[in-house]
Amino acid sequence: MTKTELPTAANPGPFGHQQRKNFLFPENFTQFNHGSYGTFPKVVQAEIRAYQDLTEQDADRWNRRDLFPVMDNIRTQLAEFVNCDKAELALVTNTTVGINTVLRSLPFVPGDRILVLSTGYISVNKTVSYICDTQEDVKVVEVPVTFPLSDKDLLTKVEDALKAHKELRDGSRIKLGIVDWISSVPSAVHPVKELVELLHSYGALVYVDGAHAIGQVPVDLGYLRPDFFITNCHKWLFSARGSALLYVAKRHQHLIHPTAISGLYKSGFENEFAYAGTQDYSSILSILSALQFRKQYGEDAIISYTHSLAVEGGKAMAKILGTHTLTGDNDDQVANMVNVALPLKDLSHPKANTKDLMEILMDKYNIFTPAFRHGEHLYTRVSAQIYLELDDFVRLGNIWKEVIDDLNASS
Amino acid sequence: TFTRSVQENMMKWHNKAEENPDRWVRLDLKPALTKVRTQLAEFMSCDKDELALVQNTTTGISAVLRSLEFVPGDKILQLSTLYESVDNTVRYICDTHKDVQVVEVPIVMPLTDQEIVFQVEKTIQDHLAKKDGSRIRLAMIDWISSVPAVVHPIKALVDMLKSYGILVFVDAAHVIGQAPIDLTYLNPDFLITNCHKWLYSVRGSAVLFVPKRFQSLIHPPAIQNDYKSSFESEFSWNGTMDYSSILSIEGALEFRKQYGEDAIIHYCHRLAVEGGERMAEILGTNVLTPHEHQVGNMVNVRLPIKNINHPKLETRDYLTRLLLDKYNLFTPNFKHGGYFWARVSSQIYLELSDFEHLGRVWKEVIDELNAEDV
Repeated sequence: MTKTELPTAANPGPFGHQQRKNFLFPENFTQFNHGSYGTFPKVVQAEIRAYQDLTEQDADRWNRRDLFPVMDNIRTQLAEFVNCDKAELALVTNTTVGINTVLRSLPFVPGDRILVLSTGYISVNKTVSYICDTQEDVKVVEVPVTFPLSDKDLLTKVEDALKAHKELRDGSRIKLGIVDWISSVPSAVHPVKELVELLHSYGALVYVDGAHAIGQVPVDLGYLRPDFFITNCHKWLFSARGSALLYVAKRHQHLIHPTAISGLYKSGFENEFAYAGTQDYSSILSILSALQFRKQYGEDAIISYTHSLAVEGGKAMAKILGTHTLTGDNDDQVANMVNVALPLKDLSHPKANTKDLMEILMDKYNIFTPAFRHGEHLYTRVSAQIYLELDDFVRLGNIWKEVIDDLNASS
Repeated sequence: TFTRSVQENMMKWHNKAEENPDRWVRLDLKPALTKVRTQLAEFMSCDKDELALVQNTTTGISAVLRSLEFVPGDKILQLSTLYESVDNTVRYICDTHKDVQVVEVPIVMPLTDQEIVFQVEKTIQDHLAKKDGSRIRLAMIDWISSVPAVVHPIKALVDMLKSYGILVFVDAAHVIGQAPIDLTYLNPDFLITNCHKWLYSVRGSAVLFVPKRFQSLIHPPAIQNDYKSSFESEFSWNGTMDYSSILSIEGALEFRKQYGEDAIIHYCHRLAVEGGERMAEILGTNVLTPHEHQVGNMVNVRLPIKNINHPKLETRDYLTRLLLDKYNLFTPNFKHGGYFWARVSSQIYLELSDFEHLGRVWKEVIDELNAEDV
């Protein structure tokens, strides 16, 4: 990935604090955790309001007729964006729905095994538990993953798990593997192309959990060729919460139905997913203005800025804290999110948990970054964005230093 | 649709989320949702912990049906007038389970309340007489059906079905805000109702009732991180989405309190009855339901089409386009019992003269179709 120069007084570029005026932040609030719930620019909010008003002018005209071409246009634009056939795309509420859509549709049989990584998102792994609880002799194969871990070592771990399972020779088969493209906590970019190929070579279907992918890394499904793929537009693409994109390869579409069966059951994948019952579709429609907003700068410019900032910002924070980043020198494993180790002396400190640390950060400093235990350390995950600059990371580093110093003193 | 005050309420929630998304989702959202459930529990006479806020009836139906563990020999009873999505969901269950089948009760209006209950009970008794080892496990029953719109004798139906040991899922999609709901009195096994229909909240806000005795069985259609912790937590977070539609229920209840439920329901009902009669007069026809109490706020008026197999009635396209583009209005229109009907919804923003106007529009539309040589 090419690195972008971060803003300086002499060369401010289009990104940095000047972007704040395009967003909805109050004066005294800095968003360091874009990765959890995202946010959207003012122009996207204006579009949402416009669609909501349009709907109320004539709800029948909208819901029976005019909504559909707009939804169709979104799939057309996204198909171009992610390089696939529009007929393989469905617009859903979020990744949780997308994961359940596929997992609750697939006809598992006794002896099927589902492979996951231990760093998979909690809701995903819980959904796999549900499948195992409700289907006879369907079990999970979990690959333990602890960072720091190079791409090569991660692939080896997964392959070892596949081999070990093969050697069991107990009649079971790994039916499906679910792999993160960019994991959540800790956040790491995975070697997803190699993972897809590896799992395919062992005869497994692959579901790529790209919840964090679109808008953070270039997505090329024509190149990646997963069986299933889900990504949240409301994370890094700047659309409103409740807008995600599900990809189901044509060969599997006859098996896959929405989580809530609707009026068009068995009339074809595109029809079944075209309408999810009565709801406010303006979050999904906001994808259009999000794409338009980003076009001003271009994906490359946005992605290379946020990536550079995450890398440099992570280094700056680690220096202030006297620690390290989770992925060390492996800048390719960082996209827009960086995990910085926190210098807490006693990991069993009663306040060394997300909730207590959150209260301190929000109430005292009016900021938030999630803190979590991974391996032998406590880390915090920071999200770079176009409205942030390097000195924001420096400020954050100093805040965390103060918080941890306080905890270390109170042990 | 919803009022301006409800729209403001919805936007207030929408804006609050953007001020600090982490604080909103991690701290403030759940208490706000709990407050809505508390208000609805009072409104519906039940315990707030028996309620789950979901996006719509489609979601609520799938939550229950896809959670129940059907076994071979189970039958699901439904009325022929049930809503299409519900029918599809039942079909999906039958498709994905071994030997689970539908038992359908043919319902052709006009029928009295007693006749409806009788039809259902007769279907059950006919099934029992077969003695083939199968059992009717669950019944899907409309409280107020969609097309045709008919208020069913719901208490009698629930009691009768339960007396046969059948679980009852009441599809009350149209009910809240159109008829008073007392869940303590009705005591169904499951009930789903859309707040965004007659309660004036924003689209994407519905409430699912699951009494405590069944809660351990029922999971949302989308399993999330609270799986197996409790019914309340499993249903209180549907993943990242915009919750302002659901929260707008607060604004809707506030708006309605100004007038009171009785006043609103009474006005809408009387207008539906009188409006329906007036339209039938203009069209030279009749309304579908023999008794006034079978009309809530929606009335079905017969359209005097001469040829019910007219090619322009084959799909919905022709009439939908004509009504929207030429007359700038819309009412669902459908075949039932060998006749053709329009379903009209009364509301607090309508008056009798609106129904008269509608009657004249439909007369013009049907006269034109009748004049065509088909």
